[in-house]
Amino acid sequence: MLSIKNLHVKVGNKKILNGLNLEIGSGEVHAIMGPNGSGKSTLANVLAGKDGYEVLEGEIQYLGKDLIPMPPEERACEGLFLAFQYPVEIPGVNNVYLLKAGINAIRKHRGLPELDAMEFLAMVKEKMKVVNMKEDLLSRAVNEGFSGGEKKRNEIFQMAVLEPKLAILDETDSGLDIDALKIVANGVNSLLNKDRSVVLVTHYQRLLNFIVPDQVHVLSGGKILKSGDKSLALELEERGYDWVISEADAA
Amino acid sequence: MSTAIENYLSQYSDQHNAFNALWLNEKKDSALKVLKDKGFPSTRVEEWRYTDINPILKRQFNFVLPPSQEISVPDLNAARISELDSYEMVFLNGRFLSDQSDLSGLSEKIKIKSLANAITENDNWIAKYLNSQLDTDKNGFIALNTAFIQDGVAILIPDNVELDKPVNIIYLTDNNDKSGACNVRNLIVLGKNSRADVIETYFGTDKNEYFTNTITEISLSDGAALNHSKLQQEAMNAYHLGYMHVGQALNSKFESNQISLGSKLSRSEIDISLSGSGAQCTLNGLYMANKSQHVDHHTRVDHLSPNTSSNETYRGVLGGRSRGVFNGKIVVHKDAQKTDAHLTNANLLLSGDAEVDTKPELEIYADDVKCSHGATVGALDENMLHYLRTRAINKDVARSLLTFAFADDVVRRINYPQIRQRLEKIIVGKLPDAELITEFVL
Repeated sequence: MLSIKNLHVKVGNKKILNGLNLEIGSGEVHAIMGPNGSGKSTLANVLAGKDGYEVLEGEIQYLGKDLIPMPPEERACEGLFLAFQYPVEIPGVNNVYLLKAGINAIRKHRGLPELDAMEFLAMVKEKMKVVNMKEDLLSRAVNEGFSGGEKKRNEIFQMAVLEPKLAILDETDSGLDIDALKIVANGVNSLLNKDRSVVLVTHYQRLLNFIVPDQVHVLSGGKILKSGDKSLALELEERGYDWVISEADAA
Repeated sequence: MSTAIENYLSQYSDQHNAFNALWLNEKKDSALKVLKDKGFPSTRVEEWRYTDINPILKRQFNFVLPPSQEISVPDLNAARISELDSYEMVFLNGRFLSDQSDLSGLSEKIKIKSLANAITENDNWIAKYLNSQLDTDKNGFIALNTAFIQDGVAILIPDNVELDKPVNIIYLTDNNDKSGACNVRNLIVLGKNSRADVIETYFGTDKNEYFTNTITEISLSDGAALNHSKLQQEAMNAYHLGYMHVGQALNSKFESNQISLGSKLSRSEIDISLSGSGAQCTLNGLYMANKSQHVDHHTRVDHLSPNTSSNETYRGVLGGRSRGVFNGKIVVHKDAQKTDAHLTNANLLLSGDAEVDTKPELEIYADDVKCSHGATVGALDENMLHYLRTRAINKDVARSLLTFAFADDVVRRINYPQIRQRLEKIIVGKLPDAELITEFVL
């Protein structure tokens, strides 16, 4: 599904990713963990195609296509989704309009007929159940006046509607209390299937109690230092990151 | 003396005694004297620094054209606000057309009529209020308007009366006559604790160039409330100068929505005197310009008494080689303690060639006040743009959506859905990829 080889990325004058390698197969759940400033969010932003992230070297293949030159909207049409760490408030742009525009752009790209208003609303109502979205949030402006938890839920709700093939969840767990975390995690779990892969970018092992990863990677200094199964996350929780960094330095 | 003034002087006597009303002739004479003495403002005057009115002065506009009777129905329908239940007054080239207007069902105690009729019928309140508060000396165009008073709207709402429907005034200029000019003079007087909503639409068709010079004088008695909207949709080759003066007594409320979309060169000015304590005003404004349009908004709010408040939000969207000018001044006088005054002006520049000159000003002579002001000029927010694109929305559509949302922030403050829908349609139509965003925003 996703293959990243020797990725070097610069933001402004600062080099953030230094030869990152990552392979993600269909239907897999990967967790990327690492200390602050290790490059986790940079990786998420590069994958979503944000301006200002300069790829100096390396390649990103997504479903057999070169992802780097693709504009963000085309990536979305190809089934890539980013749940933002800090979802933006967009006053004046209605949540429902955003989703309708998005879903129909994706359908058009895939050669499917656009959904009419009735079909769209029926689908949206169904997907709201995934994260117990309150109906009044739907008709409001995108994220405007939403609480931190509501914003995160809205991201997962959008994921449910847009049905991506690869979803990158950038610290979706941060700022959530335990009940909200459970709702969001259950939502994500309900969306997992054999054709959909998920990358969880997180600081904490806590999220991984609810969404169980197939692989856990430690990102530090702009590269993956160590990969393992879910037990690695537990070990990190207990021992911190320093031992992984020393181990890598020694090697 | 400039040729423009000579031109207007030569027209003056043709209309001076049109109403055979001595009191009015005196007002006109003294206004003419001001015009002769002071002339028109140049860009050397700070207030007019960014707006050069020479294109208007260079043209020989004619204020004394005979009234035209033949109105184009499609043009009138385009100027109308559809499905708005209102008292509708229609003006063609500055003159009232009673057979196109609809004032049926209006209670007898309320006076809504054309200014020309009110003067002819010798309504005594007209002589009392007309030109009573504003300063004819302020600039040559105010003097010019006063010297050529001809027609407009006269509204008098008695004490304790609430108008049941909005007054919807349409100034249609067909301009079949070359270089025609419309001199519009409106007078709105609200008695104690009365209420009214008034909408002025200026609408023109692209034939010949024309010039609209309009003044609306508003007087609000104790506890009165007026909601006023001015929709400037002049033809793209028209010149539009508008001035509004509002005097507010104790606890009165005034809300203004000024939307400027048309005209090659326009300036809209509001002066508000919060004279009575507890008086409040809310000023909302939106200007959108493209190509080589020039649009200027000047506002001034004088807080003269304690516990007065003003809240002002103006937004501009400028594309092409257009130029916007905003000047918002708040003056808190020494007796106006506990004033609450806020002003913001935000501008979106859609092209590298567009320009805006914005100047919010605060002058405070009282010591116990809450005031703020600020202006921004910028492009679309990159983070919002990126967010929309990650949701599969293409870049151009995302840009148009965000531009629409920026402008709509002002439109949404207008309390009539019929007006909002009309404006939203026009705004969308001005954006690139209008057809792509229509279904999402309308």
